[in-house]
Amino acid sequence: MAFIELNDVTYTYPLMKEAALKNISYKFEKGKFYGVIGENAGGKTTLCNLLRGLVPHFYKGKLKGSATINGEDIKTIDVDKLSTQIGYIFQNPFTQISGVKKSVFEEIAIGLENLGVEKGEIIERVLKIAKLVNIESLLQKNPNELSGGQRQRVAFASVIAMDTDTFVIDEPTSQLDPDGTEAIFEIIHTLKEQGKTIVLVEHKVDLLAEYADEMLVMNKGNLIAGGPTKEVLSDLSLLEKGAMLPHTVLFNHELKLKGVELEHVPVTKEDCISQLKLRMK
Amino acid sequence: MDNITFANQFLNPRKYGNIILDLNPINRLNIFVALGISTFFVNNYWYGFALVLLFFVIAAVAGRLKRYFSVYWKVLLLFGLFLFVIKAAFSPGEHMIFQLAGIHISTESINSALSLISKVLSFSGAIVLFVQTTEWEDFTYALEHAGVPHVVSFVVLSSFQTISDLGKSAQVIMESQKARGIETDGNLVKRAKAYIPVMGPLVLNAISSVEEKSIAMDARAFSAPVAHTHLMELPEVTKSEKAFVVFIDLLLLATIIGRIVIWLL
Ligand SMILES: Nc1ncnc2c1ncn2[C@@H]1O[C@H](COP(=O)(O)OP(=O)(O)O)[C@@H](O)[C@H]1O
Ligand SMILES: [Mg+2]
Repeated sequence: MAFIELNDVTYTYPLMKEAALKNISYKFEKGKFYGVIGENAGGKTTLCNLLRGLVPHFYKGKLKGSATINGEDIKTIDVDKLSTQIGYIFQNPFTQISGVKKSVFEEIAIGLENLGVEKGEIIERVLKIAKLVNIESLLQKNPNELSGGQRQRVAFASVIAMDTDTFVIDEPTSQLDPDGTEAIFEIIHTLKEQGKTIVLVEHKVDLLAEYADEMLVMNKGNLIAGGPTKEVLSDLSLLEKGAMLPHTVLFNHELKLKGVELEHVPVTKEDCISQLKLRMK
Repeated sequence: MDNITFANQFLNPRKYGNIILDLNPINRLNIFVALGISTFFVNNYWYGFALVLLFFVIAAVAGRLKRYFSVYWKVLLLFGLFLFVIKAAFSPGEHMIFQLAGIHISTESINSALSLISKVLSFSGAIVLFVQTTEWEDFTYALEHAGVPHVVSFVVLSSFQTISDLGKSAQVIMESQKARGIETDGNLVKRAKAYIPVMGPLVLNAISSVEEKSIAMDARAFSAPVAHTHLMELPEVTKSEKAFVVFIDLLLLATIIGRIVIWLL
């Protein structure tokens, strides 16, 4: 039995005509890193909401098909308990700050307080996560006075600090510069190494290509591709459906037009470089 | 301050080092409100005015005199002066001092006006004083400590935060309006004209972000089925503080009973 199983899931938000998720079937295994891409309004965020039980418990609407987490039907699952098992970092960094704490330190501690972690350990964990996410200089600042990028990192740290087994992360780098983005990916990668299950929605497909085990591509509510990262990202036909593909894949395509054939489609930079080196010999 | 020192502050209960500020917030509320209520049962306006003075003294001792006065002067002006004038000018009375058109000021009307405003001023003084000497965070901590559910205390805290955020965003908008040359100062009508168009979207925005905020809090395991930890704690209430609160409450009770007895006789 897979960790999370979606079987022909169709979901429509309240008062909406068109479904935001259409006949989605997929199996998520424990300990794997899943990347989710696709054009805007493709249903990526809605998929995250489903995986975390917000659909259908917070967003009511119509849910058809079957979805299970650890074998439990998502429709009847205990969402309060789920909140201690699946960490969810939302797309919008502005609404993720509680607004009731005077320092970033206390803001990050909220989740740990709610989990009943002992005080000394809270302090230790907050200091550690702040170092990891590189926001040590923000710890004593008022969370309400942070910039978008700073908020995004604080929101990220606040959820990561809770150390759940699974993380659903929706566009965590939208407000960050390339360095900040790289840093977040490194952390997510470390989490994966620790055995965590990751579902990451991201537009920066070059980075996903490096780290994700499997990729899901969403388009207008449909899952138009899903499977091992290399296979999914080598499929040029996805370009026509609004998905972005790694630069190396596009580069390979150009080479092909010029009559240069590589052994296989490279989805990461390293792969591309090593194949080119082989050809040069 | 480095982060470790900052973090270690949370290991000890929060102390302000001030006799008023270090009262437990619920006890402080109890004491102030008991004093405020007592004026309704003591039939002497000098008592009410004495309380008004006392609240100034307490505010000064707490080091919050400026904060207290910055709000309280509006109460003084609005309730104090306004109510006094109305009451003094229109209440019935026998011993006329001054009479003109519909206005008739008498010894009795002045007395009843003083009695009314002494009550209103001392009661509102108690409330303003509490607000100006209390951090909401401390208050909600104390509430939770006293057994009030987590959700309730969060809603209290978050509502006050929303209101103050609303005020802040309104101010930011007003400043940008001003920068665009829209008049935001001046008489009431002018100000209302500048304010009203921005209030709608502001309030709507606040409401819609409440929904998102509530899911975000859920993501922080807000309703996790375990006992929560409090990073920031307040000191345990001392025996003498407890005794003092009971003493004040008994005094209030005695005053109320006394009043009823006099009224029955
Ligand atoms: N809370 C909501 N209520 C109604 N419709 C929604 C809501 N959130 C998203 N939608 C709709 O569902 C579709 C999928 O949106 P979303 O999952 O946010 O896509 P993505 O994250 O890929 O941009 C869109 O058409 C969007 O308008
Ligand atoms: Mg989205």
